[in-house]
Amino acid sequence: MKIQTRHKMITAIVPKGKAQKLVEQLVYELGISRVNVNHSRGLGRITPLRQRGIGETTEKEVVTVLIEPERAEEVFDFIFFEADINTPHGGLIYQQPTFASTPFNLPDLPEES
Amino acid sequence: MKKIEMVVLTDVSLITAIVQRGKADDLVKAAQEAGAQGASIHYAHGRGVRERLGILGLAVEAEKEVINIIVSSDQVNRIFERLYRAGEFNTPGMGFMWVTPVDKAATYIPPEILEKFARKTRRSPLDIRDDEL
Repeated sequence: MKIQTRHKMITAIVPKGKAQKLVEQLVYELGISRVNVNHSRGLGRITPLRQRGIGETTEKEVVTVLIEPERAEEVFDFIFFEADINTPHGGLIYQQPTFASTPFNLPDLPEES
Repeated sequence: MKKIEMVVLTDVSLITAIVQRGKADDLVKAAQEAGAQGASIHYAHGRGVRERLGILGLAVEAEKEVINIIVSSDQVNRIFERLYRAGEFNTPGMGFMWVTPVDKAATYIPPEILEKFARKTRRSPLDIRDDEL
């Protein structure tokens, strides 16, 4: 069993509809294979629906990337700017340490469309 | 050329709580009252000893809500405690929560807030209270 240590987990919470393009960029431009997307609902202090009262949530997509530590900063910055997180209501990105992880190498085969 | 900059927050932690479906909004409200900026909630399916709890095992909902809240390290104990009380985690079957370390985080922070708080008082923008906005 091949175990990698000290890899980084980068999580980006972005508005609904942004994840697909981001995942394609991460896979085809940066060559990352360990990317996952899940759906969520979220709210913040400065949310578009804030005036309508607390508890109003908007749909989000959560993109999770597992990356080697040498590339973590590059990927973090890439997601931050490409997903427009630096804009109002753009979402949030954070990076966490991991103790151990496994590689995920895919065979060189055409993808299903 | 448009100036683009990233404000990186370093003293932050992630609180994750798993509760029965329908209870997440109450916990998020409690966290926000304690100073949290926001939260994300997704759904999950859980199992455990619920068959032995409640009336015919139906009182504990198997469908769960998972709450993720990024908080500043200064606030983590206070918000964790408020969540514990709001979620009644001392009652068996209500759920559980944990805190994981975060290396760094980034989001959009309005320039006026940065100017007002982060640079002058060295406070994290995540520490800003609702009434200060």
